[in-house]
This record gives sequence, C-alpha cells and structure tokens, in this order.
Amino acid sequence: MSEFHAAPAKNLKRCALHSGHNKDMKITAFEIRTALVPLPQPHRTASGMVAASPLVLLTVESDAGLQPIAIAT
Amino acid sequence: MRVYNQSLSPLEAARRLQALDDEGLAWIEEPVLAHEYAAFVDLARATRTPLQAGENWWGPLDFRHAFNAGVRELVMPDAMKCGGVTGWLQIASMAAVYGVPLSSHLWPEVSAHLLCASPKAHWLEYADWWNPILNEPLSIVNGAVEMSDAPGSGVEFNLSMVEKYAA
Repeated sequence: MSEFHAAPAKNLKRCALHSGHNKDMKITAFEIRTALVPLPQPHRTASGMVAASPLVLLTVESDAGLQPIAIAT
Repeated sequence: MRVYNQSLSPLEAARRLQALDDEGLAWIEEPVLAHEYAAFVDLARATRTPLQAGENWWGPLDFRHAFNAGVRELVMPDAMKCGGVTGWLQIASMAAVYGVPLSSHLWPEVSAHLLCASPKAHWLEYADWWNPILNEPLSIVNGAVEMSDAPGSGVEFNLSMVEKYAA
C-alpha cells in the first residue's frame, strides 16, 4: 500500500456543499491501494480464463470530513 | 445472450449473426469493435436479433456519437467508463429520448441504484467479482436485487480484505 499527501487543489478550493453554504474545503491526503481480487468463480471466455480482477482504490481525505473511495479496474 | 467482445470483423459478424438469427437470443453483444458505429447500424438492419453495445463507450459523448450514428437498439453503459453518476444520468436521459432500453455493465452494486433512476432501465448485469472485498455484497433473491437502505451507493469496502489481496 502506498500513501501520498497532496497539496490542496486550486480548482477545489471553493466547494458548494449541498447544505447551500460555501466553505473552503481542502484535500488533505489521498491514498491509493491496488489489489488483485480472486474471482469467486473463474470467468471463462473464448480468449481464456479470468481468475482474478485487478483493482485500484483511491481514497480522498478532506478537511470537510468526507472520505470517499473511488474504484477502477 | 451472446457476447463477442468486439472480436469479429464486420463481414464475419454478418455471417455469424445471420446464422444465429433463429436461435431466439435476447441480444448479441459487441460483435464488432465498439466504435464501429456504421458496422453496428449495418448489422442491425441485417438481423432480427437486437444488438447490444456501450460497455466500451467512454462518457456521454461516445453515447451521443453512437446514437447520432444510428446505434439505437440496446445500450449498456459501464458505470466506471461512462463518467460515474453524472455521466450515467446524462446517458440515461439520452436513452430515454431515443427510446433505447438501457442495461448495465459490471459494477452491479452501483448500477442497481443507477438503473432505478433510469427511465428505460432494462437488465442489471450481475457479477460477484468484488464480493470478497465488500462488507455487504449485493443481495440477490430469485434473480432480482434486494436494494439496501444504506446511504449513497451502499458500498463499503472491507479494507482488511483489500490489504490481503494487495498487489
């Protein structure tokens, strides 16, 4: 697992929250995890057997208290 | 359903689709390269079996280009490739305008919610691929999803399992 700390993104400095109030929000850190998840049942295709799914998980931390996780293959 | 994963030339696709036309398939998926819009249109005209497309189109613009080119039988956006919730909703609106049934590609935990907000919702593609790293895998009962009341997408990763499979 790797950990990176990001400088505040300028284009995210002002963020309109759903409450209707504007607040300065800063990204304080993000974390990238990579995983190779074995499939519960291997997936057979004409071009071969797929036995695991490679994933990237991105966690973003902010001083607004949100901590969303994005996933991609 | 039959999936070719973009593997055929337009000529070979025409031959095979014709041979499969009496098999009663619900759809044939991506017989040719995903962005061969003209080939999709030609094949759709030449076969009675609906053609499925869209899992390899990136963002609402790809869908707009496809719809404008006449690829309008069935579509199945991928929640990751299509631009997440925002991209999906734009695509769902386009599909509604063109009257195109809209299914999903992978990411069933998120796609189930998105299909509920899609006027032309068709089929949810189910894959259990990520169950090992989820706290609460999607509940399937009698072939249908039981939606949870969890906030947002309802997806919570089991980070200790993510760590276990770290690559």
